[in-house]
Amino acid sequence: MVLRSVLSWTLALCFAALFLLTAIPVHAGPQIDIVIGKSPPPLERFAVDELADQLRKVYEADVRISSSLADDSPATIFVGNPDTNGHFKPFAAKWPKLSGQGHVLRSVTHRDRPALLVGGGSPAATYWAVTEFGHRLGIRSMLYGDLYPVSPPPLKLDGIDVVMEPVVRLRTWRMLDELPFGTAAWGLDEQRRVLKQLAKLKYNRVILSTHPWQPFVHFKFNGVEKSTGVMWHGWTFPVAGDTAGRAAFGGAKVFDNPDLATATNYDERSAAAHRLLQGIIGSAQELGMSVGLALPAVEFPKEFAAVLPTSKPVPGPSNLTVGPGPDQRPDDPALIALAMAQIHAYLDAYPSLDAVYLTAPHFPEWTDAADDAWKRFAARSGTGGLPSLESLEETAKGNLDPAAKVFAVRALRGNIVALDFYHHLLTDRKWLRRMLHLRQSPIPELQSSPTHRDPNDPLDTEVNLVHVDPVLVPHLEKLLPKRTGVLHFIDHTARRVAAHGDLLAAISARPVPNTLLLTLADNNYEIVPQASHLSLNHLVDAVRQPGWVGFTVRYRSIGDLDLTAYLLSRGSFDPKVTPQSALVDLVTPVCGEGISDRVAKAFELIEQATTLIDVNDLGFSFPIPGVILKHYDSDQPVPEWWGKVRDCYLNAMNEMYRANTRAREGGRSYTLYLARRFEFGFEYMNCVEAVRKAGLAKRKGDTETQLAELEKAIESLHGGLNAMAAVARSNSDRGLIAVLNEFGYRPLKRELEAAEKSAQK
Amino acid sequence: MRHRESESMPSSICAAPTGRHSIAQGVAVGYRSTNDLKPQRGEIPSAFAAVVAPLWGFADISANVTQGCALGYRIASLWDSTATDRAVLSTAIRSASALVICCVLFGGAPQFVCAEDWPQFRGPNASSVSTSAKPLPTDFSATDKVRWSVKLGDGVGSPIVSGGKLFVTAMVGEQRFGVFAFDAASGERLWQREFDTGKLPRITPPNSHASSTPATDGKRVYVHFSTLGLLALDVADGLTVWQHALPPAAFLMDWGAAASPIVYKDLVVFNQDDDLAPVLFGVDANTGKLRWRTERPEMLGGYAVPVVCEANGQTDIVVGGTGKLIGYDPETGRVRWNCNTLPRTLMTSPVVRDGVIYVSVQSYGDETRTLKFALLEWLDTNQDGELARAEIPKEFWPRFDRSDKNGDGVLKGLEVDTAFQASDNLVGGGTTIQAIRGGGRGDVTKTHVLWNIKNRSPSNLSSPIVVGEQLFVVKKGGLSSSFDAATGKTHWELGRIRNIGDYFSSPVAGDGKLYVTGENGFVVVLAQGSKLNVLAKNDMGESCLATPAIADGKIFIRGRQTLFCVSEP
Repeated sequence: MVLRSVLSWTLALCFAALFLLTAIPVHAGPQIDIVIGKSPPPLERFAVDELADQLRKVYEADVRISSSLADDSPATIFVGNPDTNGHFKPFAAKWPKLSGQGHVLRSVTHRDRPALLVGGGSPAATYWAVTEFGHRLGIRSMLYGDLYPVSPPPLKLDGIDVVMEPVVRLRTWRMLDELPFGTAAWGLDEQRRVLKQLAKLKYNRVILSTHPWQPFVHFKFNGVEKSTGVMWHGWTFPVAGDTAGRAAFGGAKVFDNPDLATATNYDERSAAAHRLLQGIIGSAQELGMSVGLALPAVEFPKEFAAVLPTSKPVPGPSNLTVGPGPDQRPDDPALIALAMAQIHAYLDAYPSLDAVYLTAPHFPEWTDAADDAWKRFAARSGTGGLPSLESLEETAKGNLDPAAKVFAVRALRGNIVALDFYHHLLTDRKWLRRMLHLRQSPIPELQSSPTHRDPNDPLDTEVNLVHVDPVLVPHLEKLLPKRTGVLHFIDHTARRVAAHGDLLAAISARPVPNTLLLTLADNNYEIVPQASHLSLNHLVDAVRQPGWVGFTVRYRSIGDLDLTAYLLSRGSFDPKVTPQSALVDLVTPVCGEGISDRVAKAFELIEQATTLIDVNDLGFSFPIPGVILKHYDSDQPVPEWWGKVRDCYLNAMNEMYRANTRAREGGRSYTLYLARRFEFGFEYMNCVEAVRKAGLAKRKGDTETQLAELEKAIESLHGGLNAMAAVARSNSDRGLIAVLNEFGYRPLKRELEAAEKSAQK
Repeated sequence: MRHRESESMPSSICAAPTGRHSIAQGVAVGYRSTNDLKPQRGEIPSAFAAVVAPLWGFADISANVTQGCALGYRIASLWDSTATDRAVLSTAIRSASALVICCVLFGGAPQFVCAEDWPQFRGPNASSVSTSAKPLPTDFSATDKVRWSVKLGDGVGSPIVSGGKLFVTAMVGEQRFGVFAFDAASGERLWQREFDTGKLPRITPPNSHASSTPATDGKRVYVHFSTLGLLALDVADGLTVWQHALPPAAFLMDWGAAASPIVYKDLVVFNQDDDLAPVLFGVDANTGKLRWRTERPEMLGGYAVPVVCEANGQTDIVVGGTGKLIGYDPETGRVRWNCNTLPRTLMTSPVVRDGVIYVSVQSYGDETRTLKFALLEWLDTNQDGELARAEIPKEFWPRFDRSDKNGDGVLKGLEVDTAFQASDNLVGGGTTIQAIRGGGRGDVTKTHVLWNIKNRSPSNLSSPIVVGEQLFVVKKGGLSSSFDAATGKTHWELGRIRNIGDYFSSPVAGDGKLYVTGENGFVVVLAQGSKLNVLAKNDMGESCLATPAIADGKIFIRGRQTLFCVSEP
């Protein structure tokens, strides 16, 4: 009996031990305690989870998160700051003075063991401190996700002392826009993913660039109700059937933003679009970023022509909007009321917006009222205020050729009229406060969000006017409505802007909040890969100077931009960062040794290709119908520079394949994507060359060559799109494939069929 | 793991037995193994049909061969369970007898496989040709004429069919390898096995970890997976009969494994041509024990499937590879002959007909480009013209060290030439489609090459198909060429089949048509014959890298994710 009892107990104990052994998770790595405040702000709590995730992924650590101290903790990380986490009190002397963006990693001793303070001057900055810690472990935040280090450094909490304050205080990433290969094609899930990556890269604002013909807002004015609400200028992009690269679409029949794809009418589309935009705004703000909305102030859906008799269609691919005609008065109450109604509609629909960016027409015809407008500016500025308009026009003409002179003067006059309009629009201070997202404080003493704002930072809320003509820069503060800033669009490409050193210096001397628009990839030839790291680095240098509050990026396709986003991010905190150092720092931890040289060489070649296109044909691949066949219709021989661009892409592709071959245990997703992307660029150049040759052969009546070159062109484009499809990882990539099928591949096939039929006759 | 009792007999005539004795053995075992099958109309292997030939003589020679197979198999089931239907039995036996006679008379016997079966990669003896007389559809799509379809998961291995059952593989999760059995007629899922893969090796897209095509002898399904080696699963329930671990394949450029086993008699033959230790295995089909292994040190990575060649009174296992086509004795694995006319890279599989082996070359580069060119182009990361140890994959470091004769830590000059490519086999690229007579001994390079043509622009050429008088190949861009199989005379060269893109799948043939599957998921149907005649272009809606299977009037098309069975209604 006793024996049986002993045996039973032994068995029971064995089972219990077995159960315990299997129930307790096994961790191969170290034990780490993360200590957080008792009621941390949500973003700080999120930062702690991020930190725990990093430690688990890199070291397989056994991480405990608690608001109380553990007696047995071998390693402790304190997260927050003295205001949010009471456990920081013993280390008060160690805590530096920080701005709302400053953040710290600092080793301390806790119970005779090494410990680490991770925190910042705001919850957002605390989150950045966590991501900075991850960065030092070798984690690299690409725009598409995180890559983890091939050989992480030994985990240690002692000997760390990092204090970071930005040297570029406003770091803005633009989202949405109008083409399928921009982020307008992304559903909310994808948007959230990239927002998280941007937050890790310490971007602190996003601008949502919208257009009046899109379905993001609905409004009525004087009996007219908005009824235009489409994406992609109203174009549709089928991907069923014989679509090159269709493997990327997972069986979808039509390309669209997934969140809007099921909407069948205006109301459904508007509702879906509102959910999307509201979701982006909420997600960005949760991550500590402010959100601005960019919209054209004087462009309206075409149905509103009925209430603006002098309006004209705004030139564009689909004529979906109207704007002021040449003789429209900028102080016309009807125009101002309509513009207000539209802006109000956005602010009502998205009441938590932090900033507004009002854009002027790209190709202004609104010029007739410039003389009157300038007189009003002169009157506002008082005696000795402004030069004559005639003298400004002479300055604008400069040494340009005759056609360019006409354009320059027209641009200047249009800009003056637009600025005068803004004065009329923004004079109502009560309305202006309303416009500034219903916050309590008057500008510029802006309130701060309780969760993440820096109360001392005046950057969080403002109205920005996009673009002021360079000729007007010396008089900037006299031309702007009070308490507005300027987002400066100086030229299309970073290379061109970097050449305007004097203008950049002149802007920085003006006492207004200036932000520089950095073109990461120009939309005029955005289909093909671009890189402008050297120029962008030069421009980041410029915006570090007093007079600038920061930058906003401009691009559409996000796939190539991991290095660019990283360079701008690191350069905004460390003036010593260069494109080369950023590249090595980005690539080596996650891809391994020996790879950064290849990637650097590849990007050097892509920069050469970018410059060649910029210099020779800025509109080389503007993605509208005819983007390919325009080369068929030309009677010009194949330009020599095309071959150079093609070779750049080819060699860049080879370099990336070499890098990819070597990145055996590391971030091959990064190198392979770029290899395929550059392969696409190579095939695109092959395609247009063959198209041009086919067109020339057609002119000569050489049908055999015409058919052969058309076949070659189709095959090249097919190959290029397949290369993209093989690595497509966002709806931007899929959008690019869809656009080129609709505007390039299918028209080419139709042309081939027609040529074959013609040849058979 | 469940082990079965050892079975000394070959399992099925579908595994290409030779000679009367083997046929009889095959039937005996095949009969036992089919008791638990549920044959559907017509989906029946030929095993039983053959056994009766020597026993019952030949009668009713005009009987439909296919019908004979079907009935024969059905009787195999009846034989054990009931003896009442003598009339059916008698008819079946006569039909089956006729089938055997046909085979003997018309030369199909040695590699004979019933038309209803497609038991390995590219079908019977990798021929890619269906011999069924049943009509096959010309126009179809992912929704039209689809008898059934099923979402499987990622994979590029081809389906196989035996005894009315279809077997196919897929990745069913990030690290789960799946083997599926379906009723070929209805698509009913019969069983599914899943295996943890462990740490997966590096591969290069578009390769998949589920890349190998199974083979079957009607009793077991033989499957290869890179981290598991060879597995034999019971066709009835998918349970593991045996597992034979193999060394992991290693590729200098990380292509990844994609070799497929075949079954010859009671031998599973598996050729693993990698860049590290290429080797040909002969494994006992019943027990999984190694019968023989033959190293192929002069080979580089490649994916040629072994084929069986009967010629000159001998049976050879023929395997293509770097520089050489080699015939092996299936009993011992010893080399019988070699023909040194191939280029460096052979991704394709040969085909055999009437004792002649046809090879088309998926190659790259010109004839002078040896492996050194590729190594210095892609592995020499810093482009200094030398290979450092860190520049090559770790798996190759011991070989690197052996090749670094002067111990300076880098390979340069001659060291690069011979580090990974055999010094006596430094062949380059090439541009060839060849016909080589089988049945040789020793070096047959100068004696057995029937013809060797240089086709323009040879890169990315598919495996050849020989059907009727025609040898057909297709390449990237949808460029096709056709030659007279007997003479090599060109029918057409680089004719477009109206479907550009890549071609990883081999063309297959049946019912007087060629089915050419593009990576973009379009299946182009051509009329067999000496004129390029596109009959249809059919959209399967998703990327296809696998070679389709044909059995009993049905085409089984394995997309990257989905398996389709299309047939005439």
